[in-house]
Amino acid sequence: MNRRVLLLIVSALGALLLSNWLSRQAEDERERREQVHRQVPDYFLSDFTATTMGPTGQPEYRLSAVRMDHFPDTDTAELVQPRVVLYGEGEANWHARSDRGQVGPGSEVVYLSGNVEIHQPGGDGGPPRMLLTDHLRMYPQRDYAETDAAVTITGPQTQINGVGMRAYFAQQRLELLSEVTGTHGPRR
Amino acid sequence: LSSDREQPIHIRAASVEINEKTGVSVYTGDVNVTQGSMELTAEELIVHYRNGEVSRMESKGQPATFRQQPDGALHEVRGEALRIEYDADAEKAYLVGQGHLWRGNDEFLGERIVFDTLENTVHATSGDDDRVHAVIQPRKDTENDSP
Repeated sequence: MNRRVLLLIVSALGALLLSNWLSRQAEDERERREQVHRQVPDYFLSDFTATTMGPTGQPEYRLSAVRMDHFPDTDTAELVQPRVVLYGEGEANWHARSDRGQVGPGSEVVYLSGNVEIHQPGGDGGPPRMLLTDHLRMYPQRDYAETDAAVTITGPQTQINGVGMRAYFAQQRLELLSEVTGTHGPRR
Repeated sequence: LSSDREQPIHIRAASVEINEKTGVSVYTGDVNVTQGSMELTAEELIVHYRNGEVSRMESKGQPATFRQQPDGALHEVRGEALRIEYDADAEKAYLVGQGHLWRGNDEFLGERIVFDTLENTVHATSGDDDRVHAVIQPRKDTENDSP
């Protein structure tokens, strides 16, 4: 195979490798730009309060936080020190707070994490209640929350621990799913 | 013991459902309850609250079991039944359904047995077509359990 043909093959291979390298560079650059784009919020709010009204014009729940950053591509938002109030119908409201939070797409779910506390002051509906856990998925429009983490429920003269919880706030019903230990009293 | 009522109630179970509206909690799965010398075991335990305090507990099991040490008595009282209700206010245990109670060497069987934990007395009643069975051992001078 004479020298000219050999030269032709080598240069064709070189061109192929070069174009492959160039297209990979372009791909990496596009991904890098997209990655940067994804980390940039399109808007942020600080010290805000947002109240969602129900069909009858009554407030259903209220979300407030020290700061919220909204990310357009996933339609999610990061929250600093979120506070959620679920308005009760006839019974006391439930108040939730945590160190951090995230609002899912369409604001259907609010993830709370870090020192999560949910508190219901006492009233004619019953004794005050406090729920403590590490993280929680809250569905405000359904007055419902759940977690797979350890939970402590306290009230006057009562402490109940368990792992995993489902909370049906509108029905004032709490379920602890495993490893339950409870202490009541002593009587006053 | 009469001091049992001043002790906290400790409950262990697989799961619990707490209903604030009705003031009732239902513990299920391998339930164990202790309060001082009193102990209950069952598959399901329904705890009724009044003013934030436990007023009554209903346990169900195959069977549910109960035991407690009466004041000044030599022997512990043990019982079992399909359902055992413990009334913390009245300090009485109601054994309902195939009730069986042992107090030292004495033995009582009946459809419904009421044990007064304060008075250390037993009251047994039968079902429609059954009778109460009681085996009361002769007293030795030292024992002071009275039926």
